[in-house]
Amino acid sequence: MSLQNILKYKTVLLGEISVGKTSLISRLMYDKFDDSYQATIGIDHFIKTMYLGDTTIKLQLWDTAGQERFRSLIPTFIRNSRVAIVVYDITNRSSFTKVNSWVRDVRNECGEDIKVVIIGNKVDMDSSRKVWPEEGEELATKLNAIFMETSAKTGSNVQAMFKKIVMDLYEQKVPVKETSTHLNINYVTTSVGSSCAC
Amino acid sequence: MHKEPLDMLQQLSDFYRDNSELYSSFDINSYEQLTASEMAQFVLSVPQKLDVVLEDKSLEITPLGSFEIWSENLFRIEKDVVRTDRNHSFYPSIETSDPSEMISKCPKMGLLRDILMTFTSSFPNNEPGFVQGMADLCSPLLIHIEDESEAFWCFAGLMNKKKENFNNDGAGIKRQLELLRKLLKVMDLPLYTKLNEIGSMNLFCAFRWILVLFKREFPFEQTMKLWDTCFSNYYSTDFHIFICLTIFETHRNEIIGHIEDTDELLCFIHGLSNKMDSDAILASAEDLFLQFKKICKAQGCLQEGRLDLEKVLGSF
Repeated sequence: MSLQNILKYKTVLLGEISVGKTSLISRLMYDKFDDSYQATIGIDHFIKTMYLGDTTIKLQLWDTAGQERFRSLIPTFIRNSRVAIVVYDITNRSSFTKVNSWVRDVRNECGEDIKVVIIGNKVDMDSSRKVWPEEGEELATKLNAIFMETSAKTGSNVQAMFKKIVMDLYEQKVPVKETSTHLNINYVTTSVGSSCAC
Repeated sequence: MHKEPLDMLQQLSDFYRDNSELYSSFDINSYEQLTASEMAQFVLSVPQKLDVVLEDKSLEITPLGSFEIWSENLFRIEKDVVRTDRNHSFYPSIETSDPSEMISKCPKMGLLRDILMTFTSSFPNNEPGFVQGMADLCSPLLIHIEDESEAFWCFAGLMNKKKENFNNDGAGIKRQLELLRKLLKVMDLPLYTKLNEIGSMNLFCAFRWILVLFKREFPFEQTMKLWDTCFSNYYSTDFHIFICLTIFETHRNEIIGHIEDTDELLCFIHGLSNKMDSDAILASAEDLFLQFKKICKAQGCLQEGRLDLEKVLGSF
C-alpha cells in the first residue's frame, strides 16, 4: 500500500448561505444528513479517499461559508483547485441568480481550466421549487459547466455526482501526482471499491 | 437631541417587538409577488416609524434600502437561528426544515431572531449587518439569561467588545492573528518556524477560534467556562490569544512532526473540535501566560497593571 500512486484532486464548494454545501459533503463522507448543521465559519476541509483499481484518489474538499463577508478569505484556499462545485437551492431563486457571480469569481481565481459543476440541491423539496431543472441546465451550458440536481437529505444523486467528477478527472489523466507515505491524521477514509473500479 | 447608540437600540428593540406581527406576516421569499398596496404598506410603515423612533438623522434609512436590508438580514438570521445550538435542551426539537415555520413553532428561537434582527437593524448603512457567527455569540446569552431584553443588552455589550471580529475588511481578526503570530514567535520558535516553512503563517486555522470565541471547539458548558475566564479580563483583555497559543502548544509535536502543508494543518486543527479538554487548556493557558510574563520581566518590558498584549509584544 505504502508506495502506490496517490492522486489528489482539490475541490471547492461554493454558493450562497444555507444551500446545502456542508450537507452534500456530509452525505458523501458519512452518508448521513442532519438538518441542524451549524453554519460554516470561514472554511472547512475534508478528505474523501476513493480507490480506482490500484490508484488511490484523495478528493480534498474545501467547504466554504456562504456569506459574502467571508469571501475575501476564500481565494487563498481555492487556488490550484481542479473542481469548483457551485451549489444553489432549488427552492430559493436568489441563490440561483448568484451562481453566475460565484462561477465568475472562481474562474478569475483559478483560471479557465477549472472544471465547474453547478448543483441544484434540495430536490426533496420539489413542492416548493422555484428554479426549474431546464433553467439550471441552460445556465450550465452557457457557463460551460456540468449540471446536476441533488438532494443531500435523501442522498439522491450525491454519490453519483462526486463519482462523475472523480471519473472525469481520472480520465483526463493530468493529475497532480505524488507518492506519499506520511501519516494522515483524522482523515476519514472510505472505499467506493468495486462500484467505482474501471 | 443627541441619543446614545444604546438608547437607540432599546428603542429599536421596542419598535421591532411592537411591530413583530408586521414582519412575521411578511413572506420575504415572495415579496416580488406582493400587491402594490401590500408593498406600500410595508415599505412606508418602516421608515415612518423609524423616523419617529430615531431622531438622529444619521440613522435615517431610505424606504427601499431599508426594505432590502431588513429582508436580507431576516433571511440570513432565520437561516442561522434554526441551526444554532440545536442540540441544547433550551431549543426544543421541531420537525420541519422551513426556518420560518420552525421559528414560529419555537418561541425561544423567535427571541434569538428578534434580538439579532434588532441588533443588526440598529446601525446605519447596514454595517456590520448580520454576519455569520453572531448567532453563536448571542444564543448562549439568551440560554443563560432567558429574558429577551436583558439578553439583548448583554449581546449589545458583547458585540461592543467584539465588534472588530465582524468588520467588513476583516482587519480585527487579522490584528488578533498577528498578536498570536508574535506570541508564538516569542514562546515557541521551533513551532513558529515550522508554521512558516509550511506556509501557514497566516494562522487562518485559528480564524474560527477567534471569530466565535471557541464556540465550535468545545462542548457548550465548557465553552461557557472559557468565556467566563476570558470575560473576567483577570490577566489580560487578550487572554483568548493565550488560549489559542495553548491549543497550538498542546499539539506542537504532531504539527512539527507530521503536518506538511496549510491544508493538512487546517484539517488537523478543525479535527480537534470537541476533542479537547477545556480545563486542561485553561490551566495550561494560565501557565503559559505566567511564563510569558516572566519573559517580559526579563526583557524589561513588563508594565504595571493588567497586561496589554499588543503593547508588550510591540517591544519584542
